[in-house]
Amino acid sequence: MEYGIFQLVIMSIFINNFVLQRFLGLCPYMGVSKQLDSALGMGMAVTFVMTIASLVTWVLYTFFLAPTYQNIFYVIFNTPIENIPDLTFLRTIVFILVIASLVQFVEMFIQKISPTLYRALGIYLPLITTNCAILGVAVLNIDLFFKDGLPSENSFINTLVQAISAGAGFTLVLLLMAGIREKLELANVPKPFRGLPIAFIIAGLMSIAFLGFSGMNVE
Amino acid sequence: MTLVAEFIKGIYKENPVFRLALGLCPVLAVSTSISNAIGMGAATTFVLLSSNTIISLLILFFSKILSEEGQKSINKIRIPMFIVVIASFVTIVEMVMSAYFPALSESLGIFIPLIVVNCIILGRAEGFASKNSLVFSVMDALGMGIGFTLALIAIAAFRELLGSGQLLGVNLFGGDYKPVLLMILPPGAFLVIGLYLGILHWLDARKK
Amino acid sequence: MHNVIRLSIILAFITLIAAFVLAEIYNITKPRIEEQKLAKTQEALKYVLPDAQSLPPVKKKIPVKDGKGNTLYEREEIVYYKAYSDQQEQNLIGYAFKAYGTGYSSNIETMVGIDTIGRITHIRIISQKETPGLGALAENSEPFKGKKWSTQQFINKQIDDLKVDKDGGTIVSITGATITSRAITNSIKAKMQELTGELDIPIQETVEED
Repeated sequence: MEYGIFQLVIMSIFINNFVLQRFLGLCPYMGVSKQLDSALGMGMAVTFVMTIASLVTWVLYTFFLAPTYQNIFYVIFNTPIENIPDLTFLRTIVFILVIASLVQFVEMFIQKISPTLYRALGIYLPLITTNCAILGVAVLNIDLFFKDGLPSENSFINTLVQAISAGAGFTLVLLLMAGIREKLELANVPKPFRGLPIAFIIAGLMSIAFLGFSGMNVE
Repeated sequence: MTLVAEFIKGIYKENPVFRLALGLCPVLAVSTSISNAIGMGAATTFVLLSSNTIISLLILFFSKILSEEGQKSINKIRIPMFIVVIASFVTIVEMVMSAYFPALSESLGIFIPLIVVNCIILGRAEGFASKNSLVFSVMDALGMGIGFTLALIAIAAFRELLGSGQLLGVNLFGGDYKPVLLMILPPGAFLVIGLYLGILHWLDARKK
Repeated sequence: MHNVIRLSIILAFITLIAAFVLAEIYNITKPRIEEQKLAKTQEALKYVLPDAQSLPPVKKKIPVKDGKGNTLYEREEIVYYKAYSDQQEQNLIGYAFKAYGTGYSSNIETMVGIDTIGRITHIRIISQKETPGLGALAENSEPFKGKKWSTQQFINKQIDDLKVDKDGGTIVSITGATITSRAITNSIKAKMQELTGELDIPIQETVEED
């Protein structure tokens, strides 16, 4: 709540990395990180969806779901705050539907703009909908930037910044992983560990490295 | 497949976590203690069961009252329909948990609403419940849910034991045990799963 | 086109049924949830100031500002509680307040009790969603197995003492949870500074002469 923009960026990319510290966004992380270019494409698609989804869900939450002073019931009908229906329990449904629709659009967009990327991402493109990182960011925005159901100071800007940084952090880690895995193809990994097991071990090591950031004092 | 076989497959042969690599996010985050694991497993199984049931019924309903052509067009909105059903049950879990199990609700945090994007649930709804009878869908859901829970417990047991010297909150190693803190931190999760997967693959290779 | 409309109606219908069911369940669970929150606050108040027989809250209208500093609206909030050792509210023994801080991955709410000269009586973490396991450690009032953090560290501390070891202070942070420890400590300090003018006790931080 007392976070400046810079602190938020550093926190979301490094100290609180969405994949390695918060465990969000793992399925695509394991699945798409085998090659650098598809990793980059996926990272950008996810960042885009995260940002737009976070903004749209913030707006929907503030204006329609939560009994805030920007809620349409207050603005248009002037209903007293205590009487505005508290629809925050619809948050999960509304958020996930928003994300699902956004992913549809992104899919169509990528198909038109770059059919090669579309083919490379394959099934992982519609799977962005189930990417916990996107719903995770949206829910986290509400948890961190709303207090007692009302938006705290700079809530909108913080939401925007956190979403973009989360995406950047996700992309960064995806690229690092892809780089390592490309090299790993040529190495002699013991048979039972080839494929997914070694990917997890590498993720573990990367996670230890990123743990080092947690001592950083960004004040 | 027989009913029982349908149920058992979710536990070992097609264990959602270790074999199908589904539902990873909550697994890593929540496996810090066995009590968390059981709580999350129960919640997820409930959602799996309820959504598989409703979705199987919905598809049956539509196939009975709609023509061939009608069914083709329903097909277009099936994913959003499934999402609404799943999200509703997740919301029910969210509310019931904060009302009756507040401590668990706080421990599991954002991973409760994130059950809705647990690939296991949408995967089973899309891949199984929409194509099979009610009874089989229920068995599948139960098997997958229990398999998920067992996988969670297996990982949590390891992490909780080494990371805090406890099992289910009971101290096992006496006062001087210096816990391997890494185990309950994020890296521990990745490493433990990597190890389990490696061992599993090795066991499979030996069978052949 | 006709098809799209029909499909949208079916989808909307299903969503409406879902929303209705959820609203019903919401009405059933909401009172219970509110009860729990209240009970938690009461329990925390009792924990930090066990000798208090009466704890009247002091409310104030707090202006909520937008990003540019313009006041959007005012809302009434409990700023702190006065603690009296008797029902008749004659003997003031201290105050209690909630400190809010942003931790690693959640907002942390801590209930703090202080006596009449500004020393902390005890603290109780009311809510946090930090890393599972570590967050729970933060709430521990007993030192756990070689980890020197416990909420007991805060007893008898004054505002000057509120700094984690990593920032040069005396509060030992949780290994692997520096951010959580720092958030708790700093949020208590910040709230105490905020309340300096409000309460009739000297809890101003002494400014160090360089």
